[in-house]
Order: sequence, then structure tokens, then C-alpha cells
Amino acid sequence: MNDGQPEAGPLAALSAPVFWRGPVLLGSFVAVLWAGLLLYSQTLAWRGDEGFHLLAAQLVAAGKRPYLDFFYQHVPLHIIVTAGWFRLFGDTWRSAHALAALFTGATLLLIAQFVYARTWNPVWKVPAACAAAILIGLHAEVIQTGTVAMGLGQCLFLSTAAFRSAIQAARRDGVSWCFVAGVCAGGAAASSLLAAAVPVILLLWIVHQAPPGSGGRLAVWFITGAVLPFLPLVWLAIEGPGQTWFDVVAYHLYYRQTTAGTWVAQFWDDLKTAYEVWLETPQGLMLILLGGLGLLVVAGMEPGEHPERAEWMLCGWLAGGVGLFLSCTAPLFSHYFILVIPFLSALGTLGLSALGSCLSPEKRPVWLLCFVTAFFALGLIKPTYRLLRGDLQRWSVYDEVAREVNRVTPPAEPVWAFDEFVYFFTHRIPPAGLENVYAQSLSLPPDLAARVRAVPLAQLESSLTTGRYATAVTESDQDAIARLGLACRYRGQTRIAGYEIFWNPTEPGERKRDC
Amino acid sequence: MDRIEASAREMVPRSSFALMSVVGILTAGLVAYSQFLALYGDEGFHLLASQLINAGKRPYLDFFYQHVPLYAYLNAGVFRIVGNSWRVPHAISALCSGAAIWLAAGFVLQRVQDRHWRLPVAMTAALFIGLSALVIPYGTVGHPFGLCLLLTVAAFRMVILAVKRNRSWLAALAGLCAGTAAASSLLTAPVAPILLFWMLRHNPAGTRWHKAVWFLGGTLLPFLPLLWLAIQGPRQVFFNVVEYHLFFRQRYQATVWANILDDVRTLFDLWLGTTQGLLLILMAALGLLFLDERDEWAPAERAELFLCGWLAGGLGVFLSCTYPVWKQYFILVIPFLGILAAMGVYGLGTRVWVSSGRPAWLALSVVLLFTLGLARPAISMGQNLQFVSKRWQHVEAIARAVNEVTPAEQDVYCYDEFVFFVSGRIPPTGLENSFSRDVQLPLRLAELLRVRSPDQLDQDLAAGRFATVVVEYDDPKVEAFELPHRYAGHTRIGTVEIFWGRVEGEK
Repeated sequence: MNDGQPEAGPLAALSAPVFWRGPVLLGSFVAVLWAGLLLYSQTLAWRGDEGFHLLAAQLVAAGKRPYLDFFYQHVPLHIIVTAGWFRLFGDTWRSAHALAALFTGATLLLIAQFVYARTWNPVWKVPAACAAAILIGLHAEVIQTGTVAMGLGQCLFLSTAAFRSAIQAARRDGVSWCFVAGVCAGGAAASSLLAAAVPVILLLWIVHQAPPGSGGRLAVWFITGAVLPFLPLVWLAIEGPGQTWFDVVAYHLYYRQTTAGTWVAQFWDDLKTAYEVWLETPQGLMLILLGGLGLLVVAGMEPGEHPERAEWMLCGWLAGGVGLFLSCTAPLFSHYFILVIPFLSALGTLGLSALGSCLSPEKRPVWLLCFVTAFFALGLIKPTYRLLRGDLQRWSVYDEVAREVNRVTPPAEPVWAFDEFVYFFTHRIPPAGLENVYAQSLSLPPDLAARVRAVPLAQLESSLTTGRYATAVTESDQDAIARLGLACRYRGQTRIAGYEIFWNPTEPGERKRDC
Repeated sequence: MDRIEASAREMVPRSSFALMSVVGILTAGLVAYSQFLALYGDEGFHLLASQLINAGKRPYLDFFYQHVPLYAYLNAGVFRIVGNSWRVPHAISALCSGAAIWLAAGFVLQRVQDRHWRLPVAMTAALFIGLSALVIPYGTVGHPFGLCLLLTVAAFRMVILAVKRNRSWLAALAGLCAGTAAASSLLTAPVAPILLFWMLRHNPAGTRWHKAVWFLGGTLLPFLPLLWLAIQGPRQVFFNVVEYHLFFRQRYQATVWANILDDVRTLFDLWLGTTQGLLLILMAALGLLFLDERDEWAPAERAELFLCGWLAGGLGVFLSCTYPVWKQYFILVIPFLGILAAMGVYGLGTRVWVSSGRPAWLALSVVLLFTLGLARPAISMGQNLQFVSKRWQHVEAIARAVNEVTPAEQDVYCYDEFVFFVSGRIPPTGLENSFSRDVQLPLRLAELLRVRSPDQLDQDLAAGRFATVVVEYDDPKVEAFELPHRYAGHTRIGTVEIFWGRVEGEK
């Protein structure tokens, strides 16, 4: 060993300062994680809430318009992009998941490369960048939510790309990078309003970093870029201002289903969620501690000596600002915080490399990296345990249900199903009001309900009695089946896993035996 | 005079005073908690055992008691002096916990060389221990945990002194502390061997074996009551202290694997599913890494700090092998983990946050984060307090009612040892310890061990042997034995029904 350089050995390559080896090693490492995410997305990834996103994308691909033709309570860019992807690669859950995993994997690459480029200690360059990739790629929420068709993978990528572009804009004083940053930040917000804080923070940072006199010019370019991804929304708002306003704004302000009865109870519920995510999981606490350590390191940097200080500070602003904004959503769900992970991870690796450099400058950082990885991976035990205890066969069940529904139902006949996945898998257009399960719980004046295409649950259930549906699909809930009288209204009945399929409706006046 | 002693002499008195104030406040808080909120379901049979000892009964021989006996005897001695009250053992436990905090934090104060960091790090250690969600509820009740905390930390401090000085009595004192801890609760059993091995390894040659003999002598002394009881009833003592734990402890799952999985889940939830557990683990790991790297300490001093690691690790592994594992057992690891975690904060501050020069801020942030870990236990405790049965006032009200309606010599049927303890009554055979009822034994062995099965107790109930019956309001026995018809008096206190005044035939 000489001059603090690592010893030669099989693992020494990880910290060897050979110019080409680092990027290759880092690229390979990220590729492995990326492949893991892709594999998970194609096998186990599933979220109950992705059904209406998938169906909405399919409906858009079929020429329908969100808000105007069906209820959709989110900004539209994600489903528009997914619809385009469906046209290219087919409208299957696998293609949608692959897209999400690609976006999430690209996020890993962007952050890992950012850390690699800004780690001054050559011994720590690759390990720190690998740590960044691990802190994102092995995070339970990233794995579970960044690989499904809910738009958060796209959001992750676009907000990270916006962050990188904003840094380029500040470094080069270039309007083109500023415009790209705006497009990406706007794209993130237009994919999910959960990322709404990203463009605001980036705009303020760019203006703050801009040389005297050029702040206004850069701001205009950034805002122009940020507006672009909202054009589909603007177009929809022109066509149906009331519907668009209701779905994108009013619904979230006044009609979101809360998990607790009162505002105070909801506040405590949300506080509990945030507490559990950040303080009661190895991954959350490790990110908080390493991120905090990273901030301490940044605070100790002299702006003159470390020009990258502002960039690290931007990581902190994004992590803090986006985290604060997400904490104000009510109700708050743990997977929202996925948007904070890339920035906190980047800061965390700064803390980790500082810690490692102080702790054992003469030792190979790979051991500290192994410890961090092992400890971080411990946070996957509980989610894995829950996953294994859950239903691992969901997608094949949907496939089977869809096959059976299509077998027993003529192509143009309407199907009644509460689960959006059934429509998505059967490639059938759902009857009005059944496109989105969240619309069914809305209590609206009839004219507004008709305008936003929200049909109350009672009305949907009573429509079953008219016999206008060729097939009805419900979960195997015997009480609901008895209440709706499905067994008496249909001649055919099949059960597949947890689903009950009824087909071939009885004629009016005709009664089955035992009914 | 070595560096540590020199440092201790140099120590600014203000630092000691400030640390003492913090430990004093923590101890006052623990005492207050012990008097107003602390109640632990398993302390009832410990308190009752002490009361029975004072009434002339012997553990194992006259009643079932599945623990080593020293704590029950020590409590019995205290009860003789100040009278039977749950408040006294609670206060003593809290004071013992406070003393353990002082010993641990004092150790840190002596070992940290940097004068700017000395006090913040020692305070951090004190707060890591005193604000632990394990120490607050379990170090303040009539259970050996508080005493064991003090004795294990005292043994640790003594053994360090014994290695440094040529005084055999210090080794004997260290052994006495470790032995007393083990004779109060077998959960501390690994402490004595770890300390002995460490002493043998680090003691200067020449006096090594001499001190080891003294240490062993001190360790064995507190086991004399157990030995005396074992001579009188070897079978009973062996069953209660060994066999019960190996074969008869209550398990909650059907298979061994399911039980092991349950234990793993308990460990995971404690160390990786709580803020405090995670923070202690991470900071202690960091502390050990820094110890390995720093040249601040001489090898002997470093070995003392590593002894903390051996004790935390050894105890942790031993406690993880108890079957079933309960999270409260790990209270015994907290002082040693707290010391190491404070060293982790020290390392962070002096290596990573060098430029700031404001140690208090770093210590305060970490302690604040640690304190946030109390939020969930505090909420669960608040929810628990809504249940009246979790309060001492409730037990006292029941005991008062029982004493009002029951003549002194008459038997009371009650599954709750707390009621017997507070009412000052001797329970009928088989009702001294609720754990004995889950043990299924051949009849002769059960008689020898004074264990009565629920069926036998039900038969006594059916035969009307008890003057007063205390049961939960939803207990099926109320209907099954027609208690409202067979007893003239009846009242309800909280969730408990009390029946008294046997009637011949039916009401």
C-alpha cells in the first residue's frame, strides 16, 4: 500500500483510479440493478391503484379523452405517454411495467453518474456512485412503485433529468439547458402533481444561480419549457373546462377519500405514515442519517473551494421541498415519498463517502459499501415477507378471467365489472361510470355527476337489474352476489380464483330455479 | 497514574455537575414514571413471591416460582423494613436504573479525551439509556430489570478497575455484582463469563489467576440462597429454575419453526423497526469502527471500550436464544449499546463534522431523533391507559373491596397475583403464580411443585371452597359455575366481578 492508495486485490478494482474502469464498473453495476428492476416489473410488481391508470391509457389509445369521456383524477401526461407506448408495443401490463422500469433504471443512472462526477476522492468515486444506485435501486418503495404503471417511474426520471439539466444550465449559462430543465420539470409535474414542487424549486435555484442580469431570461426559458408538457391538459381544459377543473383540482381539494374521519384524525394518520416511512424502517432512517450527514458535509464546504456546493445544496432543497410538499397531501401514502429518494440518496452518498474517508482512509471503501448495502437490504425483508404472504398469481388470474369473459361474451356486448383490470385485460370499453373505481364513491349533484362521467355506486348496481350487461364480473363476495341477485339474473356462472363470472342473462320475467 | 486517571482528575467539575444534573433529571423522571404510570403484567408474581417469603414460605418448595430467587429475597427484605407496597420496589428499580445511567455516562465522561466533546458525549450516553423505550417502562417496575441494569454496569466498571489496580477485592466485588445480577435474573448469565474472560485476557500477568478465583468467589456468593433451597428440595429447584425454561415455557405458535419465526420478528421489530433500535445499532456500529481507527486511546483503554461491545454482543446473542424472545429482555443491552452509540456520535463529530466545533448541536440532533422514537410507545401507552385494568388504582380498588367482604383467614379465588399482593393475602395453593397453570405435569410431580391445573382449580370453585371469587366480567366461569346464584354478594369494579358470601344451595 502506498500513499493511501488501496491495496491490489480482487476487489481493488472497485476503487482503482483508472479512467475507463470506473465508468465501466459503474455502468455494469447500474445495469444489474436495472435488470433486477425490470425482472421484478415483469413478474411480481402489482399495485391495486394501477388498474385505472392502465385502463385510462388504453382508453386514450382507443381515442377517448380523459375528463371529457371518462373520469380520471390525475394530470394526463403519464397516460398519454403510456398510450403512445401501447401503440408501439401493445397494450399489455408487461409493456407498461417495462416502461416504468426503464424510467426508474434511467433515474439510477442519472443520479449515479451525478455522484460519480462530483466525488473528488478517486478512491471513493465508483463506490459512492454505486452506493447512490443501491440507495435508490434497493429501496422498497422504488422497487414496488417505480416498476408499476402509476406514473411515478416517469416522474422520478423526469424530475431527476430536470435536476441534471438545471445544473448544466447553471454551469454553462445556457438557455437550451434551461429550456430542457423546464420541459423535464414540467413533464414530471404533468405526469403527477405530486412532483409539482420540482419545477418551482428548480426555477428558484436557476434564478438564484444565474449571473447578474440573466436570471429573468433563464426563467422565461425555463417556464416556457415547463408549460409545454401541460399543453395536452390545456387542450382538454379548453374542450371541457368544468370537467378538467373538477378532475384535476376540485376532486383533490374536496372529494378525495380520506382514511380517517376528521381533519385532525387525518393529520395524525398522515403523521404516522411519515413517521413509519422515515423513522421506523432501516431504509428510511439510513437515508435520513446519511442525508443529514451529507448536509453537514455540504454546510462545511467553502463555496470558493467547492463549486459543486450549490449543486449538492440543490439536492437538499429538492429532497426537503418535495418531502414537505408531499407531507401536506391528505391522505398521505408512503409511496409518495419515492420522489424524494433520488435526491436524498445523492446527499446520502456524499455523507457516506465523507464518513468512509474519515473513518478509514487507508482501507478499501468497498467494505463500508457492503455494510451499507447489507443494512439497507435488511429493509427489504418486511416488504418481501408481505409480498410472499400476498397473492403472487394476480396477473395470471386476470389473464384467466379475461379469457373466460371474452369466451362467454360477444365482442360488442357490455361487461359489468368493478375492477378496472378486467376491462384492461379483456380490451373492452367499460360502460360509463365503470372506468374508474374512485368515481363511484363520489356524491355529486346529478348534473355535475353526468358532466364528469361519475356514476354513483347505487346507480351502477341498480343498472345490473335492467339486464343490459351480457356479463358481470365480481369478487367472490357471497353477500354482494346475493344482494345483487346475480345468481338469479344470469344463467351461466364460473368462479376463477377470487372472481365470480356471470354470463348469459335471463330474459325479463324468466326466473331460474331456486330463485 | 495512567492517562484516564489523569483525565479524570483534570475533569472540569462543571462537567461532572452538568452530567449529574442531567442524570438527576432523568432519574427523577424515571421515579415519577414508576410511581404514576409504570405497571408491567409480569411483576405481579415477583411482588407476591416476596410477600410470601415474608410470610415464611420458600420459593420452589412452597410455591411455584420460575426464576432465581435473589430478587424476591431482596424485595422481601425491603418489604420488612418499609412495608408491602408496590411503590417501594418501583422506586428502587427506578433509582437503580438511574444509578446505571450515572455509571455508564460517568464511564464515557472519563474516556473521552477531547474536552469540548467530553460532556456532550457523556450526556448523549445518559440520554440514550434514560430515554430508551425499554428502560422507561421496564426499568421502573417490580421486576429485576432495574437492579440487573445497575449490577451489570457496576460489574463492568469494577472489572475495569480490578484489571488496573492490584486489589483482589475489586475482582471479588466485580464478581459479586455480576453474580448478584445473574442470581436475580438468569437473563444476565453471560455477563459474569464475559467479564471473567476479559479480565483473564487483559490483566497483567502474575495476578491473573488469583483475581479470577476472587471473581469466581464473588460470583458464587449470591447463589447461596438458591443452593440452600436446592439442598432442601433439589427436584423442585431444578424444575423451576432449569426444566421449566427448557421444556415448559409458554409458546404461542403450533410448531417450532413458527415460534422461531415469531422470535425473529420480535427481534426485527425491536432493532430494525424502531427509531431507537435502528439508531442505537447504527451509532454503536459506527462507534466500534471509530474505536478501531482512533489513536486517541492506548490499547488498554480501547480494550475497555471494546468490552462494551463484547457485553452488548454477548448479551444480545444470549437473549436472542431465549425461546420465546421478549423485547423487554433487551433492556440489559441498552447501557452498553448506549455507551458505544455515544462513541459513534463522538466519532462523527470529531472526524466528519470537524469544521463546526459545536459538539452540542450534533449531540442534540441525534438525541432529538432518538427521542422521536418514544412517540409510538407513548401513543401505545396512552391507549393502554384507557383500559382501567392497566392501572394500579384499579387493582387497589379491587383489593380494598376484597378485604372489606372477606374475613382474614378465608380463601380468595383470583387469577391476578396483583390482587393478592395489594390485599396482603396469602393465595390458595396453585394461585401464587399464573404461569404455573399452563404447565401440564404428572399428578405427583405437580403436587410436589405445588402446581394446580385449571381443572383442579375449577373443581375447587365448583365445590365452593372460596369465600370470595374475583373474575373478569366476561369470564365464562360466571355462567358455568352460576356464581351469581351461589354467592349472596356481588359487585363490579371496572372490568372485574367480585362475588362473596357463599350461600348453601341456591339463592
